[in-house]
Amino acid sequence: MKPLFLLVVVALTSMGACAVGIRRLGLRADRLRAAIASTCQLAGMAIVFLALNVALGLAAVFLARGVLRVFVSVYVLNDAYLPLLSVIQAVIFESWRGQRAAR
Amino acid sequence: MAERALRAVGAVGIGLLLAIGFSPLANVVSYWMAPSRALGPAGAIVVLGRGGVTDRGELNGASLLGLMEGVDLYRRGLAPLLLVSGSPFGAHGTEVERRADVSRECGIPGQAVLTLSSARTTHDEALGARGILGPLGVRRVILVTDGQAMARAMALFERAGFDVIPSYGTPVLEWGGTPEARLGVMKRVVIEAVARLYYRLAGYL
Repeated sequence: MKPLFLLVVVALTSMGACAVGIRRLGLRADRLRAAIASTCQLAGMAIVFLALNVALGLAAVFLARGVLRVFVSVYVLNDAYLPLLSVIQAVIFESWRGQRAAR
Repeated sequence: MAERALRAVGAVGIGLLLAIGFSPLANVVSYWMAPSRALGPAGAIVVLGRGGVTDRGELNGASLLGLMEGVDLYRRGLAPLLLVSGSPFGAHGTEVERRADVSRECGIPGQAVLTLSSARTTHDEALGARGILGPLGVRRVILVTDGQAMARAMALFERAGFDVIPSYGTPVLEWGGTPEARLGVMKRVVIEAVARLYYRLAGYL
């Protein structure tokens, strides 16, 4: 029931945003597809950053264990902030790329 | 080309995120990973380390939950010994020390509580348990750990010479759960998949 409720809430705000965008802000409905594609691109970049962060973190953990003989738990990487920080990295990087394209 | 690949990766990622949160995908994968064996009498109950202690030296939620499962199995008369393991770190007492204290406070006789304090990985725990329980003639153990980690832990303990029963016996497929809880389950599934890969590469499995 709770998952369905969440989906209904998000669907309603999405429909509200569409209505405001088209009627008040004058956005074109046919550009929504491009916006979704950009969102997928941003999500893809976030996944790439997350993979890089995890790979680098794992390499550092095993380097510490193997070379420095210091035990570091792999679970240091098990933190909700790692995906969040990866998303922030992706947003900044994509904005940066967008600025170059706009020039 | 790179943008198209990024969009494809992102679309798959968003699709998976929605499928995990809003379908029973995580429940099914977790159930599929969990080994099944009838729960029955054993020589010892082994509670693997999980979570550690807080800065104040108290067991954290995951650690206490695992311990309580072990205590419950002991009180049901399924084994005469309770071996508790845990992180050897902690400024105000370690997870093992606190788990042994709590076990005794729950009424388990001191001589029935054994401790494994030197293990830092599941592989260490299997070898450490063999060192402690082997000389006592214990061959069959009931293993208490996360459902997702059970298959790897069971394989390690079987390689160490034990006959292993998972603490839950036969897993139950639960269809419910909030999106956040399902995401947590899937995160543990992914962590466990990486751990299995590492254990295979390291030759532990």
